[in-house]
Amino acid sequence: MDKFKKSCSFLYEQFYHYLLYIIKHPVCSLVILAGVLISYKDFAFATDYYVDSEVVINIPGTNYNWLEIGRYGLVLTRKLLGTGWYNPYYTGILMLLFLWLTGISFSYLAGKLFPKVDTPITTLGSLVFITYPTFTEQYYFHFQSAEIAFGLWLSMLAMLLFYFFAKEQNFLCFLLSLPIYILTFAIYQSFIPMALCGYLAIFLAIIMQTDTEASTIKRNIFGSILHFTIAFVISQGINKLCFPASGYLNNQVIWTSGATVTDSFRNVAATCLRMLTGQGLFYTAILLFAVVGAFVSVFYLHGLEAYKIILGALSIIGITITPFILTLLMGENTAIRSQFTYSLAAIFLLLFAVQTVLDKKPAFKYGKLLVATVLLAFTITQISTVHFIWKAHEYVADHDRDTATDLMKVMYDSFIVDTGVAGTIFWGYLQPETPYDEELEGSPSYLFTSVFNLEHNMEPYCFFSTNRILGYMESMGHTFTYPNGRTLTISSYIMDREKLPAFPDARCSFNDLEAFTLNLGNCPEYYYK
Amino acid sequence: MSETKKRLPVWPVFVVLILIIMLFILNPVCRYIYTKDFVARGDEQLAELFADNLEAAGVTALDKPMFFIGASKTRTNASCLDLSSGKYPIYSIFAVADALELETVKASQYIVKHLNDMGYTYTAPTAEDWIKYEAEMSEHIPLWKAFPWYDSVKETEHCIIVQLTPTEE
Repeated sequence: MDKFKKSCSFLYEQFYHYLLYIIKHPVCSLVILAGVLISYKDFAFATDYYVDSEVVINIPGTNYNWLEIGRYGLVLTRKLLGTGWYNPYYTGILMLLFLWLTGISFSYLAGKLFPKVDTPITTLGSLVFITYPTFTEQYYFHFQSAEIAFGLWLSMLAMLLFYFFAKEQNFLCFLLSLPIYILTFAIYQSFIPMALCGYLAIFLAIIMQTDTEASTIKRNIFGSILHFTIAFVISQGINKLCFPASGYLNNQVIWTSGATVTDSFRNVAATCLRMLTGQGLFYTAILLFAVVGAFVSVFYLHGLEAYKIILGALSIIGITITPFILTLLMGENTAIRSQFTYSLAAIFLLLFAVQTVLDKKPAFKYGKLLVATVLLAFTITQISTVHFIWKAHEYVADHDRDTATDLMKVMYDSFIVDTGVAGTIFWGYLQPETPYDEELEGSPSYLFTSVFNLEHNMEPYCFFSTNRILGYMESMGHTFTYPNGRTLTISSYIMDREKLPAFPDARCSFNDLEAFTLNLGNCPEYYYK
Repeated sequence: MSETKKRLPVWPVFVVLILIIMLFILNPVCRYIYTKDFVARGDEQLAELFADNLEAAGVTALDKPMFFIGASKTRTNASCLDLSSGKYPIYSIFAVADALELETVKASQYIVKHLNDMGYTYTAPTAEDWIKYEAEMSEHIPLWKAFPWYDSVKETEHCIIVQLTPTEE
């Protein structure tokens, strides 16, 4: 009992120091806040269309398909935060708040793991972590942006707690970090590689300390494996036992989907290479830079025992692999939005390199300046990329809104809106050309995809795309009759018979009172024949 | 050591509590602002549809006084606040006659003013216009179809009439 009280007291003390850190480092707090606001203010308060927003807006409080795809943590978090009912400004405030807390928590954690590294460097590291451009596609899905940011913050707290276990042998911290990890694994699957990265970084930081004994290292290896296994098994167990399964995630595993092993290997290698070398809009080469830095710094570890150096090198390899775990599992390039760990792994390695060098050469002041400059350069580049991505996205979103208004004119003219007289089918698709197309080439993303260019090629052709478009227009406050199989049959016959010219031609639509048919354009004949 | 721990302040607990309370307050406030913004954006879209309706009806003399008859409903989506109870002072400019219980002239002046604020150049009616053209209007009020459907606008000799309330056929 006394031990438990001591553990509680220790925890409260840590919590106090954690809050004190924010107050005692106002510049760090403000710089991270400024970074978060500059990068994500527009994303946070956007009310543009995004994929699935029509479902979330038109069915308030929906759990959508999240329980089937193992995201019961997301559902729980939405209930906990009060974000279940679409409320974009509230979600936006929470997202910014949790991102800020994530940044501060990372800086605090990094300060604990690498005590020789100064706060300005850990602050810049935080900024590089949270402003990494792959996060933009995640925050594009605004309905879960606050929950993802909350999950990031929780992950940082879980890592901190696990660090206290690893360092202080506080078993209460071990126990408390378990439910946090279980929850984050069920918020979004990408938190799993992030947790692995955290275990390895904590392990690396602890073994590299000269006074760490072999027994502590053994306990850490065993503790990390046990901790992760329990969290993972419970998280997956709840999912398997309590919720119906869906093939959504399993279908993305290309190794088992009939593709040749050679093709899958080629996909994985190409993806990893692209990410490492920072090709495309969403990636930078920071991980490559950090890996090189971390391995170079290993040469400064000459004072340590050989087994510690080997374990350290293995940890560096492990941390480097964690951002690619999903790609390795899937056998192909994973969605940009699922890549949470890339920048985290890079910053951990970079800070480790700085710590190691400073440990051996404390007078190496220019090293700090060099690292700070590099981090600042990456931060500025990333923030400017995030802004560019937003600008390109906004262009498409504005175009979508204008197109929807123009379509509504046609539909009001045909007496289709608010009347419930005829189901609607939109044939074909629309995708605006943007002034940014050249830069966007090779970086396909939902961020730049028009609502009028979604799922039209899924069979039955143009059925699901029509539902998306009508859902979008319904979310603007107008009501329509959704199509059924009969509407589709009649409409495809009309499309074939009438040879409707493409929108915005005045004759692009036809209303036969059972089916309202509109040709958006770019519609191959086999869609309706 | 234990003495130091006993002296730890309790303000961190209050910080967390205040944060939670703030979030509870923020949620409805944000929903209110979202609904207000939604209606305002919807009005911009309706204003565009209205301009299109005028064009389709062949209305060119925008210097004629414009009378808006009745009121539309305020359009919201399922995630907005429920405005039907009248509990919240949020309404579309096209629903102003019902929301503020205004007469046709006052409501028309209000709507025209707001449309002109959006960059259009319509003419607001005066009380004298109403007295002068009431008989002319009653002859031409578009029946059945109401804005934003087409054929909800009629141009008469001296004024433009817009039907906002759908009437029985």
